[in-house]
Amino acid sequence: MKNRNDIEKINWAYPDGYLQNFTPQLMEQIKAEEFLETLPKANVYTMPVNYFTNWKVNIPTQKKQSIFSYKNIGIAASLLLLLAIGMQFVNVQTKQLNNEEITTAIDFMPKEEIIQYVGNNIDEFELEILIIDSVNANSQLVPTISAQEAKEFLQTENLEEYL
Amino acid sequence: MSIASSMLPDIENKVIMQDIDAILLDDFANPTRKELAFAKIVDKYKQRLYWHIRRMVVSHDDADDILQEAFMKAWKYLDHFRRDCALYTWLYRIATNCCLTFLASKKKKMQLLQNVVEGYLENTVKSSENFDGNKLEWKLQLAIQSLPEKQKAVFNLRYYDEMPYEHMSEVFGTSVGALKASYHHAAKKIEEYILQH
Repeated sequence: MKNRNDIEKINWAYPDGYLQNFTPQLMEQIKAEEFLETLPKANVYTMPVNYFTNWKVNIPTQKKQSIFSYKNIGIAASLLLLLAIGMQFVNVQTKQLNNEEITTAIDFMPKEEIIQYVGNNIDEFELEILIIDSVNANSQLVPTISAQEAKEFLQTENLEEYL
Repeated sequence: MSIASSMLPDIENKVIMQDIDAILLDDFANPTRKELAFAKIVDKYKQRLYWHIRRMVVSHDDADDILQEAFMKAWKYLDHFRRDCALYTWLYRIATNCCLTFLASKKKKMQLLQNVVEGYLENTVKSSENFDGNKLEWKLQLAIQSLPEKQKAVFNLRYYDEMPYEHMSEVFGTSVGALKASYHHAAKKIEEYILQH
């Protein structure tokens, strides 16, 4: 355990010349402040008479924000317009999809699958396919009769007569 | 209220002042009482801030502009005041920063126009009404105006406003020790200036 003498021998660090300069610096400070105390503290500047009588801070007036301001109406109108355009776009896309749905699906189906399916269901598709094939084969050919009329005409009795 | 409060000891007086400030700040937070509360704050501190600014910039017109600017800033930022210091030190901080900004800006403009920057404020003091270079109080002002801006602000707050160093620390964001050192250096420079002129 350290005794008093050992503690006094511990060297605490301090700036060079600190203790030597301390007293003269302190005396200078005391002298300067005593000198200040000898000076008059009177206010030498003058203020215009009644300067503060009507003095006011020019606070910027706050504009009360109304829901029905031009800005808000403009924003609402823009949003509604965008919504309307968006809805229209979606509807058009949907309609187109509905109309194209079957033909698109068929276009992407392999021909062999279509032929097989039709072959298995020939009774239902016969006349429609004949008509479509003839139209596709020769674009100038435009069916002038409906599929139902063609079916009736190509019933066995009429077909035999036709052939 | 002011007569009664002046009869009380200083500590109690300060506590009352702080309570009043707290009430004013609470009222300021209330939209229906905001403007009235701010008007009361302005009335309470405008004189003290005016003279602090005036001693910094010398010219009344400049002091008027800066005082307006300081209170405009107070109005704008009082909602965000965290009450981590006294209201008056917060206001002094704004006013002091406005002064320092003004003086720096003035200095730049003068340099651009190639005007003589040095001694500008001393010349403004000399052109003041009732200036008398033989009188000690005017010599003191000339000596103060020869100090660097921030040191001048420290000196003025301590010497004229008798602001405690702890409060000055809140105004300047500087340690008490640094402020004391700054004040002592300023005092020494002023003594040398007056003895030489």
